[in-house]
Amino acid sequence: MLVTDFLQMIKNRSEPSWLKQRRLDTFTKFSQLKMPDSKEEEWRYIDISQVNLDNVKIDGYTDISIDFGNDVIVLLMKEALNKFSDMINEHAFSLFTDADKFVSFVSSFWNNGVFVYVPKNVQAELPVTVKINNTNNPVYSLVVLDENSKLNFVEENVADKINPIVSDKINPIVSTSVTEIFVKENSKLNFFCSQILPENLYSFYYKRASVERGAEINWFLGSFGAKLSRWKVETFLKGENAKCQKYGIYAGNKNQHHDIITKTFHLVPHTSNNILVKGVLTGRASSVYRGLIRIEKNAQQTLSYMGAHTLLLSNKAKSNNIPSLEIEANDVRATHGSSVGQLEEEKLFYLMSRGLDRKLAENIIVEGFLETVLNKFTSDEVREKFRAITNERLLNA
Amino acid sequence: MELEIKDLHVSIEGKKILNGISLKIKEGELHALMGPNGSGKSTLAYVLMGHPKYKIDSGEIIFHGENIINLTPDKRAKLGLFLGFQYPTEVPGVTFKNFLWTAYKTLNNGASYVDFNEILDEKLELLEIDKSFVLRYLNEGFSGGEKKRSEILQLAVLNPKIAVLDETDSGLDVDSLKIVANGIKKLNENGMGILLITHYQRILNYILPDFVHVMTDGKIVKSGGHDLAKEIEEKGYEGIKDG
Ligand SMILES: Nc1ncnc2c1ncn2[C@@H]1O[C@H](COP(=O)(O)OP(=O)(O)OP(=O)(O)O)[C@@H](O)[C@H]1O
Ligand SMILES: [Mg+2]
Repeated sequence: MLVTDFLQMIKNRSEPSWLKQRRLDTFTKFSQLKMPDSKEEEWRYIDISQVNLDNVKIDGYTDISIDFGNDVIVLLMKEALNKFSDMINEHAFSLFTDADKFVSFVSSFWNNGVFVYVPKNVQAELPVTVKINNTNNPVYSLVVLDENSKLNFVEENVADKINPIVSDKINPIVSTSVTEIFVKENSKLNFFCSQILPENLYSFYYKRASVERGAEINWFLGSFGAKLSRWKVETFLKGENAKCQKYGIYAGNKNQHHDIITKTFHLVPHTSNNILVKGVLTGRASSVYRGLIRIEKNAQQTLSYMGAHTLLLSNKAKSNNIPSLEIEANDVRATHGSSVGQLEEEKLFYLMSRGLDRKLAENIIVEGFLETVLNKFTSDEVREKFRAITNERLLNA
Repeated sequence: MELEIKDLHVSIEGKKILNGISLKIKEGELHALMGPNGSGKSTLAYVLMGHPKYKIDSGEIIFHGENIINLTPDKRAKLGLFLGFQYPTEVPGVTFKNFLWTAYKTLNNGASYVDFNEILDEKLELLEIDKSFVLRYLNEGFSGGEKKRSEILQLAVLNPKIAVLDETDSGLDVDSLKIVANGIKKLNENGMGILLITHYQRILNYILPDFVHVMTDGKIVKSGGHDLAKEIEEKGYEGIKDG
């Protein structure tokens, strides 16, 4: 986007002046930053040659539908800016001081998103459900749980308005979003998020959460659609007894690439983290999972686990799981496990000897493989939905 | 209904394992198959069920009057064949009950879940297995003995015409052995034909086999009545070979 277009865009929007100023600042940064290249570790094995953020066409507002109970505050971001300007000013992009090209793209150009505030001591009864209709327009969402509160948040990413067949190969749709989450003392957030975009889209989702003393965040992630799907999900455990769990599944077919990064930062003593990410690939699909657990020097008594496993259903599918641990403290327990495997003939033979045909036997093994992640989900509805999507993607591959 | 094996020659990766096996098992008959380690007993069991890794060089397996050597394992199961595995595989994430129900309804067209539950309860009782057993993931983390019970429970519920039981008695404690043996006996009395592969005389104390066969080096070198099992126990395989 040209500077003149950008200035015009800012002018046309009735936004608080602090936001206009921020956009200007980050736009300068964005313009100076180069697109990441494959020499950077996090951008190895991912082909973004078709993605040019400097050229992405942006117009209008992202269409988002929301549904929630009356004990919490949920607004579209563009409306929240009037009523909650101060709170947004205080939190927005405060966890992303190290913004890369993508994040500064979002912080310069974001147009809509969801604002969620759960007041102190409110244990929300109903989930907040959000359906985001992805386009080129970057999305920024902010979720704040005040002390001693509780929320189930369900975010679904679709792109109903985009016809995958006519979608442009030279200038593909690039959907980007940043979500910032603040879980304050003794609060608990269950965050469900799925990406069910049509093929030919590129998606880059950045999510960061700050978790304070005695608070807990549980991530439940499902990556299904898009041509290339990048997730970067990071959790900062900032207060003692803070907890994080990340459970994710992905299912890839055709030429899809699923690229998932999770990072957990243990910053103080007595925090815990448990990660299990599993994916199934068929066709020529590929995946990369990078997981980092970082334990700071004073973060003693940390308990942290990370597991990443991929099941390949075809010879052409490829997967790379790269867990890493950075441990500065000496009194901690941190472990990881990862694997990439194919369907085992012995298992298939066993099931087939009981009358199941090969296809059914394969399905049962795949379902079982993912079940050990899905059974951690605290929502039956989301679990069933993820199951159904997975089946569809792998069966109709 | 009978299972007839005719002059079966089998190899794996160019190595000959079975060298002309012939055997006929009728419904309601109990055959014990004994033989030293590595003689080819499990190979025979796998081949009967249709394991893809073995190559059948010659011979026939006749079941239902049809040569089944080109049928996949699921088709053989549908004809009424069952294999109780020496080393059952673990299938994580799949509960025993869901799996068995899937198998049950595949083998019994139009089966009802209510009937299935009734049969399952009945067999759990027969085999003195706790109900919580079927809610666990299939064989995952099962002890050696529990895996064998899992096989027998599947056998009892699926109720095939002919069953090959590969060392189903190994790894069972005395009490479990008695329960499993009685279970097999009952199924046998109700008409199931059984080929029981075993190393031990002790299971044969509970269920008298109609025939005992001895396999060495991929060949059945001797067949006889249940006395043969005792003779093996006393003399060992070397001892009975020439006698
Ligand atoms: N994949 C394989 N490659 C090569 N040889 C094999 C393979 N599988 C089995 N064999 C060989 O075939 C022979 C027969 O093995 P099998 O398992 O049938 O014996 P068994 O009679 O069941 O023995 P046990 O009493 O120990 O169970 C053995 O010599 C074994 O090493
Ligand atoms: Mg054996």
